[in-house]
Amino acid sequence: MSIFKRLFNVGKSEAHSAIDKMEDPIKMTEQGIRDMKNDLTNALEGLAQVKAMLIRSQNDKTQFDNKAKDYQNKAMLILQKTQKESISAEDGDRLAREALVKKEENTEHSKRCGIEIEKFSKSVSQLETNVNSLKNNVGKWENELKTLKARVKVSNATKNLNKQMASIDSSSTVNMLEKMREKVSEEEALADAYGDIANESKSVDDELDRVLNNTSASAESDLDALKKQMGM
Amino acid sequence: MGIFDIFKKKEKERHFDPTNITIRDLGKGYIFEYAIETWTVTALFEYDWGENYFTREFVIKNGATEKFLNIEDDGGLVVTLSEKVKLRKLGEVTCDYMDAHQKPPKKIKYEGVKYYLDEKSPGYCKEIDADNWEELVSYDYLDEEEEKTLCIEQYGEEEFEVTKGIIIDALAISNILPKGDN
Repeated sequence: MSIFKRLFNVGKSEAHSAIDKMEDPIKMTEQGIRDMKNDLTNALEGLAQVKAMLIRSQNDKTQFDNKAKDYQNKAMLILQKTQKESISAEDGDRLAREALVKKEENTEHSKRCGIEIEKFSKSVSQLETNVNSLKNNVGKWENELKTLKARVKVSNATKNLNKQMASIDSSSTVNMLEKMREKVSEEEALADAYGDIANESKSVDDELDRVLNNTSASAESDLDALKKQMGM
Repeated sequence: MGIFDIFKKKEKERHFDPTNITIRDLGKGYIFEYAIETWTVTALFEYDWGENYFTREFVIKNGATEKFLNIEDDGGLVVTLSEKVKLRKLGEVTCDYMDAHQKPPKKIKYEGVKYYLDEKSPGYCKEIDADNWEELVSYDYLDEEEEKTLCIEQYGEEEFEVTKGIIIDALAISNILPKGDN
């Protein structure tokens, strides 16, 4: 592996590490859920549109069926009138035929609506399945996030409490006292050390004088002489 | 999320939670289920009863049937589903009283049910997209069990609109689907 490639890999890993530190998993999950909710809203709106088309087709079919039935009735009435000779047979047949043509047209429209209804119904049930699954997932993740947030709060509180109990918090009073105690010990040790050094720094002459020091001995003999002189 | 997503146009904030769309979120064009039937909101009216108190009325259609869904949120939610009734159907006694007094009586018997005047509220009404408010006085009646409603709205001196209905559970309105903005 070339040196540049290794350097590049080091840089890459450092960058990833820095971004990892920046990423708050809770905030990232919240954003993810927000995105999913937007997708869900779009899916719901799509479902509403297809359902509206289904309703329209159902209404149209009912209207076409009614119209077809109406033309059928009209054709029958005209034939009855022809039979009663209220109108001529020729006119009656022509009008009845036209009514039946209209009836047929409406029946065709109704059939077309029937096909649309079947198509839209399938789309609606498929979309409903997808929407429900998405809704369930969002709900599940939202609940999971709530639980995780609560767990994070609990663990943070426990961590802080344990830190205080263990007195390892740098700002705690116990820690400050500990530091002070160390400082005092250091000072005492320093004072002892200075004392030792002071003792060690005495010259050989001083030591000889100390050993041969006869000031107190001469004072003793002077005292004895004085006592003799005074007859004591 | 990709790094260039921040340059994308910001998504429009919705006023509802898509995992839990409630009757309070209803709007024009919305679709919902009630009594195993699918209904579409075709119009929306707003009522101003003064002192910052508003109620909403949705005109809903199921094929050829048209009804009104009235939502009142005064701490608790009261949902009324009603339909239009011709004034003359209230009977001769009531109609004569209204002709004579230009207001409805305190008690009305209609279709074998006795209704008692519960509230008389003056206010203003308009369709949500309209500019002008229309002044009205609403006379709201309840039956003894407080389950059935009768409402007479008076516009001007002689114009009356009557609706009869029932109080329903808000949860009876289900599977609410929103309408897209486009």
